[in-house]
Amino acid sequence: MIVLHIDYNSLKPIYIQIAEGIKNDILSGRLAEKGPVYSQLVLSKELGINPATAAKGINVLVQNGILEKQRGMSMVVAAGARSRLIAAKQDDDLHTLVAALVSAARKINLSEDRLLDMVQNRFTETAPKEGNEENE
Amino acid sequence: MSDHKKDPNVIRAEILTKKYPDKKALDNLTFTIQGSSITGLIGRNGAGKTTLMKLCAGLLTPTAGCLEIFGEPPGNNLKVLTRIVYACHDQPHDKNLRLRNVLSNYQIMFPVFDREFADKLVSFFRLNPKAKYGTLSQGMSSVFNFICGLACRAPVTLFDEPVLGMDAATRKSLYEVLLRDYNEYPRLILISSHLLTEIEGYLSDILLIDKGRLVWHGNIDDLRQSAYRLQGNVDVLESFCAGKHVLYQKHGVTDNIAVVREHPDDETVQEAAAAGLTLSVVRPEDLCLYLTQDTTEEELECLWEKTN
Amino acid sequence: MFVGKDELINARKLTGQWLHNTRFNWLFMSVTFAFVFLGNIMTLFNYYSETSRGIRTHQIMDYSRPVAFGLVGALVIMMLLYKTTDTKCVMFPQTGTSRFLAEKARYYCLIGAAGLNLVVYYFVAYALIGLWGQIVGDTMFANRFSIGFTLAGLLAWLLYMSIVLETMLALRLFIMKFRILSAVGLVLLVLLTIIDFAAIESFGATAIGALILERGLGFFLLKGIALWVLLFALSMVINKISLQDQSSRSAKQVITDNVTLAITVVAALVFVIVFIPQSLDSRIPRNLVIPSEEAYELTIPEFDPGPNRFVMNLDASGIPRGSSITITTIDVVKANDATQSVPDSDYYPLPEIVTMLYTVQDEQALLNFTGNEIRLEYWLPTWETGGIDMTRYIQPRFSARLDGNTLCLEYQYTLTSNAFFLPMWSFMEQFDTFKEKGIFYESAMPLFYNTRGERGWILISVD
Repeated sequence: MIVLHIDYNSLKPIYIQIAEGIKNDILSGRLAEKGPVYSQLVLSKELGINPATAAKGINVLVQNGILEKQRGMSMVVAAGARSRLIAAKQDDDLHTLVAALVSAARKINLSEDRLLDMVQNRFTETAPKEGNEENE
Repeated sequence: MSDHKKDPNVIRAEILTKKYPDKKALDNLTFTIQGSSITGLIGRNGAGKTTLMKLCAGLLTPTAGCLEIFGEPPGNNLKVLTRIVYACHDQPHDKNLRLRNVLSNYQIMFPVFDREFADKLVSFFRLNPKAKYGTLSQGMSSVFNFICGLACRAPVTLFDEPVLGMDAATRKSLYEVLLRDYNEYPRLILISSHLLTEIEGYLSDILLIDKGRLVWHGNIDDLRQSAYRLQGNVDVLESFCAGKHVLYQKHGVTDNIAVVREHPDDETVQEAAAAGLTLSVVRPEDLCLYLTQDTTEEELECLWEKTN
Repeated sequence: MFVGKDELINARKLTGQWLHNTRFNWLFMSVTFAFVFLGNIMTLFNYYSETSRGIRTHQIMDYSRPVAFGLVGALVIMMLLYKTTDTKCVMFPQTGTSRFLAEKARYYCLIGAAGLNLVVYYFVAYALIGLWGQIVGDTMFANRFSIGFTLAGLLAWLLYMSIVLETMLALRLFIMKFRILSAVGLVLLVLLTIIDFAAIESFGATAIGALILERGLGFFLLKGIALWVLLFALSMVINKISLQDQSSRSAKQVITDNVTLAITVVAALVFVIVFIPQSLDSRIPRNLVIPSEEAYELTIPEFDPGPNRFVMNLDASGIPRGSSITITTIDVVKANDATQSVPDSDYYPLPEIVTMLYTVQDEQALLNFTGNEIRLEYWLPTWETGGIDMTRYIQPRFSARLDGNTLCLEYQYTLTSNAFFLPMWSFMEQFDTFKEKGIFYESAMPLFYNTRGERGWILISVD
């Protein structure tokens, strides 16, 4: 059922891997908003990990507002979690691109003003025409 | 101090020492294990793991220092001892007893022993309840003793090398059973093992001892995050490692390795990448090895040198 | 004080485990005992000595003594192997005290089983021989069966064994350290001082012997129990001290914690043992009369009025004056008749016959009868085998009648063919409680058996 896979050789702590795995499942639609999320027990059983580690991973997401605890014991995906994740991902991706852009610019000694000009031009060139939607 | 008494499942050791005429088995050990957890007791042969477990089970008495379980010393203390079970792979049961009689004995002596569960486990692991204990092979008696320890559902459960002699398939089943039962009935489990890589996922904490002394105690994630391995050019390696706490180094013909005791934060990762070194994670088993190793390359090489 | 309630329950559980685990051993032991005892009942029919007129007296030895010896040996072996038994339970919750209590319980189980086997054997022996006797006839038991005696003896035997055990446990450290050598020495010492009752005078000076030897069974039990409690407590204390490394409390703490109570208890026990009025004479009197070497002179005994002395007055008013009265006898012999070969000694091993003798006070008075009555003062013969009065089994009957001028004296008796001696708890002889109740007999082996008979006498006089 769960496609999460723990890589013990990764530099990422296990609980982070779990948190990210759940996030991916929310993004891909596997876990629906306001719907149930994998419980600590299920994660422990299927992944063969200590329930405390699973709990830690879930907690991270609770703190980030991705998951929330409902009445009783069940944990559900928070409303609007998906869109927030998408936004965050976009943010992340964007930051990565900006970092790459800036470091590439420095490598060829491009000045900040020239870079900004290039970005502006690109925005103008690719401005959405009537009926033409372009997404990054 | 009083907080410990309120917490459930506490093993508390303070400057715990156990001396024998010929050696010091435990030396000023101080640690606390609180709450439900699966803690791996890791150490080399003769590090003092069994001694520590036997002290917790009240089978030995400390020479110095103190050891408290649920706030009281376990020795000769029925209140505490009925809530602790010590299961080793070769428990000295009467060889002529049938397995079901041994289970009955456990049922009598431990208040919350789940006989039904134990019987199911016995058949799950393909043991014959009518077999005599003395006829079991090494692996089978390990399984049986594990079952006895697990079914006790004791708030403090000590497994001393429970998988000794077991084949891989049985080990896998055992870990699954252990984890599932721990999920249903959480308790403080201390499990000593040499196969850390196998049980890495199941553990929440590690208690590493060497030569009777405490080397490290804490969450296994923290242990994972406390060191990294570098591979690459020997000169780059040496300059990168300058001033750092290096646990282990190896300079070979094909490769050069260094293990550094430091948290691999993003900055370090980027630096290493920039320097052209491969930075990888150190598995807890390897890390424990590096932390307790005492033989050097030279010693190894000397083995084949001819003395003239 | 010494033991908590939880520890008692724990000890009970541990003992129960051991009993269950060794149940086949117990079965085996009981079956072996049964075979040995039944086999020995058969020897009853081998050992016998002939006495007069074909009475066969059968006897076996008192098993309470060899079993006591064997039991002590078994206990010593169990004690030497205590570690092995303890190891099999080490994985279960227990304390040093509960472990020791469970160990004690194991020994007491063995003692109890031995005692039970002895009593059961005793009952079975009586039942079997009684049955045999019913079928064969002419059989009797030489020593009387008594439930009270059997149970009292069992209690006393168990108490003795318990005292021995507690003494050994109090000295167990010594046994453990020096193993076989001291174990053997200790066993001998203990046995000689406590169990060898027959030689008690020689060893009466030993501490335990002097302490609890009593004439009265009640006093013995009281003192014995007091001594046992003392030794029990002593062994518990020694155990706590010697295994101190296993417990977290120091020896000093153990002692001082309970010092007031302990002193009180010890003082009370010492008082009971030492100051309760002792019997004046704690030596067992010998009631075996040394037989005189020669007793050829046959003296006519006096008639002492007593329980077995009878007087019969025959009305002789119808006898004509001056006529003579003749005496005819059946199985009665005239005392002064030198031609009769009547054994003189009362201690002749095999009296031919348990006879009645008669003597006439005045011969002339009978030849020339002028009286009114013929007075017969008589007592019946007695027959004793090993101190047991067997007379009742001979059923001696004496009758006399005056038939015209003839005085007929007739003595009748029946002799049993088989007499069985089943001794038990022979150490109980030291107590007054059961003496002379037909339970004990003196000597041990049939070969050195004394059968003693005393003639009956008829003293005839004329009134």
